[in-house]
Amino acid sequence: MRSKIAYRYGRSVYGLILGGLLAILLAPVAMVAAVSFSDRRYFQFPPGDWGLGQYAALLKSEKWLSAVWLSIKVTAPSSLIALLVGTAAVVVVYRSRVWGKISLEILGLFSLLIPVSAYAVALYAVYARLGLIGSYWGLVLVYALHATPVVMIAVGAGISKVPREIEMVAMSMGASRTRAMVGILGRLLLPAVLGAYVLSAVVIFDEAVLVTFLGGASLDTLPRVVLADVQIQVDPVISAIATLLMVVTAMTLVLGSMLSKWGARENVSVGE
Amino acid sequence: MSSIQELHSDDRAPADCANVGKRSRLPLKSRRAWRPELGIVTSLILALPLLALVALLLAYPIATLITGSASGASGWSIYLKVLGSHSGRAVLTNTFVISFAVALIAVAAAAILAWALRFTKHRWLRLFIWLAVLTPVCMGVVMKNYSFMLILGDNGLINSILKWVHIVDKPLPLLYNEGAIVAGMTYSMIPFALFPLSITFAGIEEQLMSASEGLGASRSRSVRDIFIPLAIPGLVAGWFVVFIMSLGFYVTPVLLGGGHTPFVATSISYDLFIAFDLPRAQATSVIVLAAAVASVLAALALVGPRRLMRALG
Repeated sequence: MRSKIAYRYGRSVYGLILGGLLAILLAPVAMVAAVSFSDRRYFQFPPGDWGLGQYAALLKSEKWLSAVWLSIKVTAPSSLIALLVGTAAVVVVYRSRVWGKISLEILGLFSLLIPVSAYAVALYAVYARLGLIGSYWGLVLVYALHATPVVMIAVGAGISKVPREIEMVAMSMGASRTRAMVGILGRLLLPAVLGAYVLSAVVIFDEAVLVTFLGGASLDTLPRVVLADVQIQVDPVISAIATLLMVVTAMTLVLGSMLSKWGARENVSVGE
Repeated sequence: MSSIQELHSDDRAPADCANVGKRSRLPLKSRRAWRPELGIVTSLILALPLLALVALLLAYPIATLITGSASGASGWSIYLKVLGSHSGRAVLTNTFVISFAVALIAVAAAAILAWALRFTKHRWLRLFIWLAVLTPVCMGVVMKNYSFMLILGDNGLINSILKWVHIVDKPLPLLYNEGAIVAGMTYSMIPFALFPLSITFAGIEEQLMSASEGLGASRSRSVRDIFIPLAIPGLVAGWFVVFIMSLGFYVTPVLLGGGHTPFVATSISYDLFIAFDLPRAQATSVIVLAAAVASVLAALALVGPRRLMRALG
């Protein structure tokens, strides 16, 4: 009897903790959204003065729009390079007989664990010596490497679901290895590859630390400008950017996961 | 009789083949046999871009980081200087203690969430938990911390509410200290702790617990003696991943800690952009890097490579 009471008591305490956790997880989003739809200069409780003033200010501001544009210009090529480099490496890991290929995968995964601030200092010293601080292609290449682990994880998850037998059948029926790889593996892997592109683009678009060290005077991407701005004063326009960015990111991630799910389903039906 | 002979010959066949392979190397066949896997040349060509990027932008910079840290006026004794100075020691201990605490809180919070994901019978609750966990991921690194500044600041959410209900007259100093860093970093790391934990929890069979309860154990006893021992490797792997990632955090300590809370990130950015002391920044970076490598090795020894890799992706 006592244990039953204790159990019920424990359950309600657990429910309270869980509810509190979920509230804490959602509070920052609610906060940013509330501030973005309020026309006040500073936050005040209770919130009020609802309006779209922050969004209007954002659309009029040359500074923020050019930062967004530069971020897009950096993200597009670097995530494409990451996609090509990472996919090629994953194909080697899963479809070659070379000894030590697994070390490629380990390399990709464990580079996620390098402390970013230490890595940024290391790159800063090299780039400063080579005069590459503020160089567009220098940043693009660093970002390409930065996003490669993400690509390798996403494409690796896709390729491990593609049965090898189909390629074997194609080769036994006279297709060359290249033809079987492009025509079968390439086609079945396409959704996972597109999903990986989306994911790596999100990671790169969001990156603020490396560009703070390597951007010099010219490369002011959106996360860098926000980081620098927020250190000095809190501009409420940023809340409008944050809200828009979150909606776009969430939609992009949903699109990416839908792509890879679509791919998984197609592969299963082929496997059967 | 013949069937027995056949059996015998079948038994011997593989051994014979192996012996043949060892004795004569079958020169033509073994070298030119067509195999469906990619050959060495193609593999190298495909892996070359990654190897080149890693060599140029990872291995070379880190080698330069180590040699560069000794290139200043004080040579290798820069490490004694960093470790011996009061501020250097404060920076390192603070970073380690904060990362330790963040990893502990994040894994505990993730365990609570993963438990609910594993055992709830309501679909909507599961969906809601995933939604709540994915919001920090969708928010972006800088925006998350911006939002914490809005919550913890002098004119922020908490202080405004406290002032509104007249609990305090002066705003509480919630921002620009260690507590703010821990809050912001934990918030960012909960999803990273939850992803591996939800997989670990999903792999634990519920029947094991019902079996122990059927044999007379209480619910708490079966959690303690069945569930937790099975979950521990996942918890440890998650803790290490969060701890190692926390060591390198830059945005959160800079924004929520302000310029004066000791942390590796703030110290590095001060050395580099204000004091122009590149060797000192490099030495601090090398120490953090060494700590991260040591933690990876400790994690490998404790939970093994497979579990750690699963915790990463």
